[in-house]
Amino acid sequence: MGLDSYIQLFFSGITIGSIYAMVALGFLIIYSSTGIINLAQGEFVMLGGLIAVTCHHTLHFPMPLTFLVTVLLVTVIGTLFEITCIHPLKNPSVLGLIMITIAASILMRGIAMFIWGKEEHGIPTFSGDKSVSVIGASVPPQVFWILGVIFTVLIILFLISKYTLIGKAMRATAADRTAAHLVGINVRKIVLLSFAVSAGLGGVAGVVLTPMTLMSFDRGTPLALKGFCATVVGGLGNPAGTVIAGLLLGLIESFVTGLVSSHYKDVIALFILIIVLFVKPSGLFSKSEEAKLKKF
Amino acid sequence: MLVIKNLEAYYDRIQALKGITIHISKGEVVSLIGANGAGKTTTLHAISGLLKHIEGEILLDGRSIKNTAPEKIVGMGIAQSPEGRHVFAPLDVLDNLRLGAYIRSDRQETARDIEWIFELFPRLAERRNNLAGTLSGGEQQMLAFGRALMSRPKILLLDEPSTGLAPLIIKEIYSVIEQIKRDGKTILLVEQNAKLALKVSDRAYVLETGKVVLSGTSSELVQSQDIQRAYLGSSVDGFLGK
Ligand SMILES: Nc1ncnc2c1ncn2[C@@H]1O[C@H](COP(=O)(O)OP(=O)(O)OP(=O)(O)O)[C@@H](O)[C@H]1O
Ligand SMILES: [Mg+2]
Repeated sequence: MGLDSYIQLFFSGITIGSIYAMVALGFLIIYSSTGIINLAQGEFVMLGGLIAVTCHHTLHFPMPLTFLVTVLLVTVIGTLFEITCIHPLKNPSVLGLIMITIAASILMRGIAMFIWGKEEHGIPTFSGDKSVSVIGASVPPQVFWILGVIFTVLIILFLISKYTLIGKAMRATAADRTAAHLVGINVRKIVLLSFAVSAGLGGVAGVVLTPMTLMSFDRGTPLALKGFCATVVGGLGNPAGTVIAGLLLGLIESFVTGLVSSHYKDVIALFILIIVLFVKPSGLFSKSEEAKLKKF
Repeated sequence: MLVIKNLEAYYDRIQALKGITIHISKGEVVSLIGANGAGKTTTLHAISGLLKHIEGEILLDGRSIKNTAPEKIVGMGIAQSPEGRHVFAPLDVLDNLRLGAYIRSDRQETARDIEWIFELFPRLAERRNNLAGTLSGGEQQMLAFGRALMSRPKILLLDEPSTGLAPLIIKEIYSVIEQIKRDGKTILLVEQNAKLALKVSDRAYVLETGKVVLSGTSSELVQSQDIQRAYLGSSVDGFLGK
């Protein structure tokens, strides 16, 4: 195999890895502010893709508008999900909450199948199909859109969380809910915001991914699984670690598929998860003292 | 200023407060003393709006603040430095203080207040860019205290600011309490260490298993036989004998 094949595998790995990273970060954001593992996280990606399909093909929106409207809608769906399904529960158990998110994920899938059917849908790539040559390997231009958009979003998110008051309030609430209440942070608002942001991340991932891989109602769940693995491998508490874990997962998956066999594609993530749980249960990028305090 | 009447608090079915009546006037330092599990923290949590199930009345300047959201209570002028400090560990000292002023919108004044906190606690100034989680216990206590002051509260609730700290640090923290007391701040101080609390406060209430069993001016209580026997004896040996 030549260098160009490796480069191709690298690009496809990092591309799908960046999608996993978005899903994983979505898990992490909700988990940090509420302690909930939201297993409906993958459905936000699916909805992002399919809503974009409708925006583009049925409503004939240009791509930038499609992008904005879709992300906005998915964000609203995420927020409504919290308001209608999570918030009304009084003193919910962790298990109860997980069941709710599973139910919500099944429901979202069902509604999506009802609206968009079982077939796959696509939208055009953002800038044509003419491959770009990178050191001999030909890379579809959508790859650069996916990476560019996702990394821009990640950087914006990082800057907000680091330097704005609301970002600090989100981190503070994740760190210590009681103290957040005591300094006057509206914790309820932060929880809503974290559902909104997580859903929005999924929506972004869905729109940029769909031109490459098409989208159908049942695509969310496997993505949630991979994203979840990345979140746990990343240590459930460290955004940078989570993103890196997502990227690594995509890369490993791509290289194993390309060099060994594509049969293993979907078990790799679980395999890595199991190994990490055996060797370093707190995740690769987390301090073990912190991990002791966690519910999972 | 703050009046609490027949306050009862429940954790699920367990009743932690069984009808507590206390009041604090403007400019007063009042302490709440009592053994482990007496209900001191529960009282402060009830005032701050952290408890779901409470009965009775909590009035701030005549207005009921019962069942008000915690963030609104901070906005009304009641701030708390909680037991166990609860600093925001992954954020630095400056950000912890800024978040203390979360309900305020006056940026310049906030910056000035942060400098004021650094004057009160020079150790914090040295560590302003360190993560709160890396501070020593004493520094974290100072930070929790400073963070509570940052909202410019009318009433400051302090829950066990001395617990687990070295005598020198305790002295430092209590001298700040003295100082803000002189500035006229109203304080409700919770302590297990009765002697320390009585020294700084004007009046005190003694709590036992969810009830007020004794109250009076601090100088009366210091003289009281019951207090001597039940609280001061052990704390003198334990903390301040040295
Ligand atoms: N979260 C909780 N759930 C159930 N019971 C609680 C809870 N917090 C406190 N209690 C109970 O309520 C009672 C009063 O507790 P509280 O923490 O108010 O006491 P305290 O006077 O602050 O004690 P300490 O000096 O140890 O801080 C105790 O019997 C305690 O076991
Ligand atoms: Mg207590």
